Amino acid sequence: MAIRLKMTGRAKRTKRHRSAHDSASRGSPLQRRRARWGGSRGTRSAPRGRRTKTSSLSVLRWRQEGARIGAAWRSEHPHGTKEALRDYAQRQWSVKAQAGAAGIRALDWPAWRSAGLAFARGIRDGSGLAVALMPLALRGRAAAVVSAGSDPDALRSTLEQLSALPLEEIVVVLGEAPEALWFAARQHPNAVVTHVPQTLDPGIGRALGAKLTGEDIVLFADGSMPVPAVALASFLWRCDGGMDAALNDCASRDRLFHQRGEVPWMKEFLNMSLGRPDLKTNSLDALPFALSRTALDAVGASVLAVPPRAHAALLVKGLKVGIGGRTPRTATAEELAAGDHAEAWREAITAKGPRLHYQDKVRNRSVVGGVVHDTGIHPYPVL
Amino acid sequence: MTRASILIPSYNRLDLLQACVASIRKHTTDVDYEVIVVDDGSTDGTADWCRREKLALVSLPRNEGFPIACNKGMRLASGDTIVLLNNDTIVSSRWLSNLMTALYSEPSIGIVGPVCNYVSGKQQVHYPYVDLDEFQRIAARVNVSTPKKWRRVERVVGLCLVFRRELMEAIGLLDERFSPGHYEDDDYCLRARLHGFGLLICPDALIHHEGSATFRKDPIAQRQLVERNYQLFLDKWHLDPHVFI
Repeated sequence: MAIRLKMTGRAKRTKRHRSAHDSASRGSPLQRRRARWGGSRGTRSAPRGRRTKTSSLSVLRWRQEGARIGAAWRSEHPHGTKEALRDYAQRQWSVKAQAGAAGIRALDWPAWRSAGLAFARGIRDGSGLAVALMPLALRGRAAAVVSAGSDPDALRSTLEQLSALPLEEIVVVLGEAPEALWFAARQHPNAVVTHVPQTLDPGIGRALGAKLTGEDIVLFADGSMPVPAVALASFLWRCDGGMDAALNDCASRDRLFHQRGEVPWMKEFLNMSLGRPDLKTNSLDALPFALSRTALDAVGASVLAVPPRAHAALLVKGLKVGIGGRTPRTATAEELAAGDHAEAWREAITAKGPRLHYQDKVRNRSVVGGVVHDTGIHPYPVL
Repeated sequence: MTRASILIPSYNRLDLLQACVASIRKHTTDVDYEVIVVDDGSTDGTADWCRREKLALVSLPRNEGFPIACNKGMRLASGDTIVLLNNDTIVSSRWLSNLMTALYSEPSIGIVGPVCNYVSGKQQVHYPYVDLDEFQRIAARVNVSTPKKWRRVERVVGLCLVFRRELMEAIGLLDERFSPGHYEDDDYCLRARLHGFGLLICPDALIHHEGSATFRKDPIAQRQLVERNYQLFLDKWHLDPHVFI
């Protein structure tokens, strides 16, 4: 009987490696393919960053810190309002963020989020006030623009969630609206409510709202679909970190290509034709999204009236467009999409020429004085 | 012809605002315009009235003062000509067309203003009227566009400022440090002149200004505010604004 030696170290590793290769040459075609590629799907949809979990110890510390600050504030202001506490807590959070007290890595949003939520919970425990608070330390100043929709209760919820964030102002845009919607907007103690005496397309409402504010980061929220403050905070965070347009990631919920429908196909093609296949079907028409002041100044607020055109303008101008977060969204109106996308391509072609960034690798145009590659050379001479 | 955006910041004097808007609707038939009311935290139903009257409205959550309210209106305005108008004014026939004729008479003109009975400086005139009907009769005679009456000045009072969008894009909005009010118009006019724009006042555009409704309420506080803002102007420019009046 042969004595089987226990395999250790390099031998063990080599055996595992060899057996994987071995299975690449035996089994059914599918099994062989799987063994070759090391997984059931060939590619991942998006590279996953390494997520650092905030240790439960530091979360506990933040909660205790919040409780201490909350209790101290309450004893100094026995009749203080929730709004005053919220402003105070946000300021305290900003101070601690700048001091780097937590040792949390600067760019890790999940860690900041858990720490912030723990701090907020502590504030509530310590002060005894049920204040809605999403602590967020931003370097710039932020504002929100809300297209009101038609449901007063949803609008109230949206405004309540926005109140938890450190926003300088909240602009609500209403077209001809019923009284209930006006009151839902006006009752908010911090909202700048704009009423325009005509029926407003939501895109035009957003464009008007964007014109009204001059802050560094503008968050666009949907008044008919309340989103929790913690989800909205992610968009502000990304823009504060340098992104020019932080989009809502809807592509992760997409069905298979042939099942998606025409509008997602056009959106994906727009992204691909402008050199951003990684954005897939994501576009600037999915609320919420956030824009930086750089982006708004570069494309102008009025272009937001036609979301695909605004999206194309951002990509053509080379601004930093990325994903800001993932929240459920309302369905877009399909009727306008085709015309809007045509406008988007028209905008891109005006800027980059009819070939956009695609090169003609088949014909030798330069022999007859034509251009091969349009980028940077425009207008395109007709051959 | 260009479109004018008439911006009216208003705080709690709905009666004055109603009379002002009524006069605009009656006497601005020869110019394409939009009215934007900026409700500066009123509690007397100003916002509701504006909505019923189908006026464009920006409703601020609290009283922020003239510069901040005007700036919100200026951001929203879509016209090529911007008009900042106090709510305690009454306009008269051909007021805006005469002012715009002066504004667009030369490319270098940036801001123009009317004349009235109650204002500081060179825009003050003395027409004898005791009520508004008499005022309108006099204004109908006076408001005939006469270029040779226009005068170059160094300051136009903020109760009625008419300027080009091009100027707003060049020099920006009103300076909000002067909130709640006083000397933001002096500051704006100085910035306009530093950018090479000229200022005119138009004796062929007579309007009525009620004046000092705020002052009469609390004269001591108002005087303190004027003093404080005068000092702010001096700190900013190291120039006495009175030399431009």
